[in-house]
Order: sequence, then structure tokens, then C-alpha cells
Amino acid sequence: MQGFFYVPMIKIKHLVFDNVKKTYTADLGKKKTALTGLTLSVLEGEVFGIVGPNGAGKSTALKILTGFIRPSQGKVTICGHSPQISSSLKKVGYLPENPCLYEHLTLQDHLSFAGQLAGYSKEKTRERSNNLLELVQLDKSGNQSIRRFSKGMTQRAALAYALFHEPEILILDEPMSGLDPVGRKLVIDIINNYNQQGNTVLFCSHILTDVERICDRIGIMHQGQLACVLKGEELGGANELESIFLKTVSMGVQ
Amino acid sequence: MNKLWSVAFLTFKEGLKHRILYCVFIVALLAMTLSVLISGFFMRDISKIILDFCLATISIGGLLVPFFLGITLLAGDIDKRTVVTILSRDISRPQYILGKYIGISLLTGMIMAFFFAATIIAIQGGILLYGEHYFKSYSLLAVFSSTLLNYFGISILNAVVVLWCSITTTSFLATLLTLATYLVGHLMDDVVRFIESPPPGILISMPLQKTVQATQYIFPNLAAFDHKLSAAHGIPIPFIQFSVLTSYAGVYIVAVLSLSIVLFTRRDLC
Amino acid sequence: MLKKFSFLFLFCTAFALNAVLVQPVKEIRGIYLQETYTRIGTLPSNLLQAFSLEFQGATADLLFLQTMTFMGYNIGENVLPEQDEWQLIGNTLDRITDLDPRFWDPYVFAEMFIGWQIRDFELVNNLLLKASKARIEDYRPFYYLGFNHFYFQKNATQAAFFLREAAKRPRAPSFIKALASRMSLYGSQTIAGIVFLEEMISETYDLILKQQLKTRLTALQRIHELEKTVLHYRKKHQRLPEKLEDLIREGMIKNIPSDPYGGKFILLKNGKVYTTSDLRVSSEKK
Repeated sequence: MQGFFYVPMIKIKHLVFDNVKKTYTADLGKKKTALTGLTLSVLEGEVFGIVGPNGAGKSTALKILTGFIRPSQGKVTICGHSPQISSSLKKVGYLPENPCLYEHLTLQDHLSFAGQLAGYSKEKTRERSNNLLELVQLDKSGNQSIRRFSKGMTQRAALAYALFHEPEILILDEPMSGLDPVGRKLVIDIINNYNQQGNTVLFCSHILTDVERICDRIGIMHQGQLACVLKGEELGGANELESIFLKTVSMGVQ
Repeated sequence: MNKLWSVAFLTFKEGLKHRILYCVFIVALLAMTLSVLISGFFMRDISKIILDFCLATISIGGLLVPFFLGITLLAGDIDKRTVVTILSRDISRPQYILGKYIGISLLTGMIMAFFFAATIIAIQGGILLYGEHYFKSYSLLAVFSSTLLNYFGISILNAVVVLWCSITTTSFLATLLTLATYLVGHLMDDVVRFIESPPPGILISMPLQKTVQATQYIFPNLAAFDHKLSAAHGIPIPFIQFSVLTSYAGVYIVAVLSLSIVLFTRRDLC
Repeated sequence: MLKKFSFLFLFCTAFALNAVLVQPVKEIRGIYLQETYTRIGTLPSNLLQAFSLEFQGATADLLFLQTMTFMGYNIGENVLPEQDEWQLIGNTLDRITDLDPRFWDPYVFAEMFIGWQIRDFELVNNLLLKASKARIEDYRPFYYLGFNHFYFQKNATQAAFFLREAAKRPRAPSFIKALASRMSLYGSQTIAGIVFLEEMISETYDLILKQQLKTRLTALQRIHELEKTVLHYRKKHQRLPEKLEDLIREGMIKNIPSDPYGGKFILLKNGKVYTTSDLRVSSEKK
């Protein structure tokens, strides 16, 4: 549609990184730099994928975005607010790299906790729980402790928890890791479906084929910066992303 | 406020699922039953003996929270990154800290209330077994107020656990620091008194005296909350003393939790 | 399969061996038990208090239980600890009452054993003075002090002072006042002893100790009976009998009762009855 009648639509920038730097103090006072000036913005309603080699700073970026880590320099905003203010996370669903649900509690416990936080009534919480359990295909395991879950089940459970409060922005750190092909298909379908409702998705992944399949835009991160941004529709042939990726990484930044 | 309680309730629920709790419940109940039987070996202070052991059990049961459960629920939360589950929602870090504190306080309260009830039953059992004659000095008020003060003392320790867990990264270090606080809290008062009026012939240098005196403004005086001895003899603590101690506990907990919040909000997690 | 069973077999063998070794290990521990017990008595009180943290009451109870175990078998077998062991027990009782000054059992224990048995009244009276300070409302510490001064130490002035103090306390039995005034009468000593023991028995739960006290009471009651008969004899004959056997000859008693402590009752010149056992367990040494 946009191709025929080109109307410059002003899309709202949902997530913004503005020249973000992060330096950790590792053991023995050594400084370790994770981000060296990341600038990136994710627009409303798009699926943005971040790819990059290990240690590129993908997870750090997402942790800064969700407020777990403070940037050493630069500014990060979610819908215009700093992630350090807890209310700005109200519209955000976050799936961490290693799902960190409470081992001794059941998935149902987690979901009712999420329901309390979202201010849902008991009825609504129950309804939403049932829907989500069905969605992630865990409807028979809702009352089991997380401890008894397999890796894939935990991943799906964490996704259900992240989606519970119907967030407008979904931030996923390696959502496909530890899943079998069936699980991966499920997660991709969920993300696609979720995006079609007009929500924003930011995620990072190693698996380039998945990224290619679902992303509107793809950012390649290298050495703590964004090396380049590609548009999903620009990538035509098979393995094109992979060759660009390898080229970027081997060249280094600048 | 609602969020605070949600976090507290989640913590409480998690604590209840730990198996160590049930082991301790069984061991403690056995200890209390045993105390009733052992007290028969003594000559006449039977109610005192039963209360000594039962109040000690209440105390140990309560201390289980700061030393084990509290550490697992707090340091473990950060260690295993389960904290992400809570903090990825619109919960601020102060809300998280306070919610966690309320959660472990509820847990402590529940354990101690349970043991308190067991103590009352033990006393009734003792009366049944040995006759009322040996329970003349028993006073429910004394036992209750001492247990309450004991709870306040442990609540202080819980707050200290929150502080240590918001600074350190490992459970082990947090446990060690908590243990140190507990020991200092119980011995400090005696040491300060000793330094302030040393027995003749012992010279104490000025800097040492000042240092030791300074500790009492930093560490909590936990020994002051121990009224088990007088409670076992049926002497309730005067109301004025009780209220002063309660306010001390309240003020100290507020101070420690505030400091924890300040430190925790500045911290990078994960 | 074989491996599985071999470990099961190993477990059974080791467990059986363990059962065999339990007794020898217990004996070894028994040797050192006394040493541990000795060390407790030499620890400074404030150190002991520091070690027991907030569990002073329970520590005091356990130490006292240990003291009783230390004594208990001796009592059962009519064997007495040695002199230095008594010193040890005294020290530990002192530590226990430092931990919990209101704990009444150790004081009674001191009175019963170190008082009645060993007659070391310096130790007992010091402990009782500590008790009188810790248990202000209680008449018993002063009553015991008064009794010791009256019955054993024969110091009527001091005794009267303590008994008057005891009578001032709430819930003090009325006989204490009577005792304080009647104390000049030497003859009331046996009665005082009987009253004292009866009061102790009524408040003691432990069966072995109760039996101990009852034996002592029986002996005193027999002495009392004999003394009463002697008084009767004097009324009739205007003089004292020369020997207790005179009473049998007169038909006033059938026979001279036996002393439960194994001694022999002897009539003194002043009409009192004395026993060669002095109401103590005969000092068979271990």
C-alpha cells in the first residue's frame, strides 16, 4: 500500500538508544567495555531483530533497556521515559536469555502474580491464564513446579509470563534458544501474530534464518555498536543475511 | 501498595515451598515434646525448664529465616536471576526490597506463631503430666511479650539480611555477614559495658574504648530483645521497656531498609 | 548385580560392627565426660554467658541436667563423690546460677547434697544469698538460710534474722514465724528438720530425689518418736533413761527402730537422740 501512495508516515519511536556506552568493572579493577556507543531506535509496530556474534553486547543492550543495568553514558528511553522509572515498564514484556522463573512455584502462581500486578480481576486473570497456557501449549502443566519443566517448557512458560499483561512492546532475548523445531515454529507464530495486532517487538538471536523470517528490520551488532541496519524485504536470496553478517563481523566496525 | 503485597505474597509462597521448613517443623515439635518429658528429670522448676527449651526452639525457628530461608529468598533471587521475573514488571526497586522484606517477615511471623502455639500446648501437656503445682510461675503474658520481642529482634536481623543481600553477590558472603551481625549484636552490649567500667587493674586505651563504643551505634543491640529468661520465670517485661524496645526495633529496621534501598537502586543486576 | 549386593553386604557388616563399637565408644566418652564437666566449672561466668548467646536459660538447664547425671548414679548406688568432686559440683552450680540466677533447682540441689550431706555451709549459704537477691519475692532462700543456721550451724541469732526475713515475704507459711520465735528451744530442732523436709518433698517432682528426702524424713521421724518417748520417760521417772534400751524394758517401745542410713541411735546426756550415721549416706568411696 505504502508503495503506491507514498505518504511519509511519522512513526513513533518506541525504543531509543542514544549513543549508549557501558563499561563494567570486572575483577581486579579491570574495565570491560560492553557497549561503545549504541544508537538505535525501534519504531512502533515493527519487529526489530538484533544479531551479532557472542559478546557483541546484545544482551547488555536489552538489560539496559529493561532497567536492570544503568548505562555509563548516553540515554535510553521507552516511549519517551527512562527505564529506571518502573512505570515505563508497564507496557513492556521481557523474556530474559535464561528464563528465571521461581523453581518452587508453579506457572499458575507466576501468572496470578502477573495478574495481581496488572490489576486484573480474578476472573480476568483466570481467563487470560487459560488462553496463554493453551497458546504456549502448556495447558496440562500449569500446576506443576517450574523445577519439573524441561528447558523448552521453561522457555515457553517464560514467554507466557512475558505476554500476560498484554504489553505493547515485547523484548525477547534469544527467544528460540533451547527449543526444538516445533517449539521454534510456535514462538515465531506467536511473535508474528503478536506483531500483527500492532505491537512492537525487539529481539536478539543467533539463529539467522529465524531472524530473516520475521523481522521488519535487522540490526547487526559488533563490538558494542550497531554495524548496520538492513530491511527485511531487502534480503532476497537465501543466506544473504549470513553473508552480510560474516562480512560485517570480519571487517570490524569502520 | 498493592504491588508491595503481591511481591510479599510471592516471597511468602516461595518460602513455604522450601522443604527445609518442614524438616525444621518436625524437629522442633519433637524437641518441644522432648522438653516436656525431660523436664520431669528436674526437681521443681518444671515450667521454667519447659519454657526455656520451648522459647529457645521458637528463637531457633525464627532465626532459621534470616540465616537460611531469607538468604535463599534474597541472595538466591539475585544469584539465580529470578529477580528478573519481578523487576521486569512495573515494580520499582524500593517496592521490590520492601515487598521481599515483608514477605520474609510474614514467614518469620508464621513460623514463630506456630511454635508459640506449640509452646502453649507443651505447657498444657506439662500441667496434665506433672500437675498444676509446678506451674505456679507460668505467665502467658510474659511468654507472649517475650516471644513478640524475640520476633522484633529477628525482624531487625531480617532487615540486616536484606542489606547484606543488596550489597553482596553471593549467598555465602551474605550468610557470613549475617552471622557476624548476629554475634556482634548479642555480644556487643556486654563488651561495651566491660570497656566502660573495666575491672580494676585493666587499662583500656582510649581509641579502643571509642571504637567499641562506636559499634553500638552501628550494630543492633540484639541482646536487649532476649527476655526468655524472665519469661520462663513468669516475669512479664514492663510496658515502658517493651515500648522503648519496640520503637528501637522499628527505627533500626527503617534505617537499614532505607540504606538497602539506596544501595540496591544503584546496583547493576545480572 | 553382584556389585549392588556387595555394597548392601558391606553396609550390613559395617552397621553390625558399628553396633558392637557403640559401648566402647561410650566408655571412652565416659572417661572424658568428667573432664569436660570439670572444665565447665573453671570457665569464667561471663565467658559462659557469652557462649550461650540468647540461650542462657536452656544452657543453664542442660548444665544442671549434666550435674544431676554426674550425681544421679552415685545416689542410686549409695556411693558419694570425692571431696574434690564436690568442689567441682559447687563450682558448676555457681556457674549455672550465674547464667540464670532465678533457677531454683540448683539451690535446692546444693542444700540437699552439699548442705545435708557434706555440710559445707559456706558454699551453700553463699549460693542461697545469691538466690535471695535474685528471688526477692520468694521466702525460701531466707528460710533455707535460717534453717541452715539453726539446724546445722547452731547460730540462733543469725537464724532468727533470716527466718524473720523469710516470714516477711508474701506467701510465706505461718510456721516460719513460729519457728523464729521458738528457736531458743533446742528441742524444736528435730521438728524443724521434719517440717523442712516435708516442705521439700511436697515440692519435688523427681522420684529418686523424692525417695532420698523421704528416707531422710523417716530417719528424722524415728528420732522424733524416740525423743518423745524419752520425754515421756522423764515425766514418769523424773530422770532421763541411761540408754535407749531402758525404754524397751519399760515397755514404752517394742524395739529400737533402725536408722535407714545404717547408723545406730544413741541417747545423749541431754535427752536428745543421735545417730552414728549422722543422717549421711555412709561414705563408701567409689
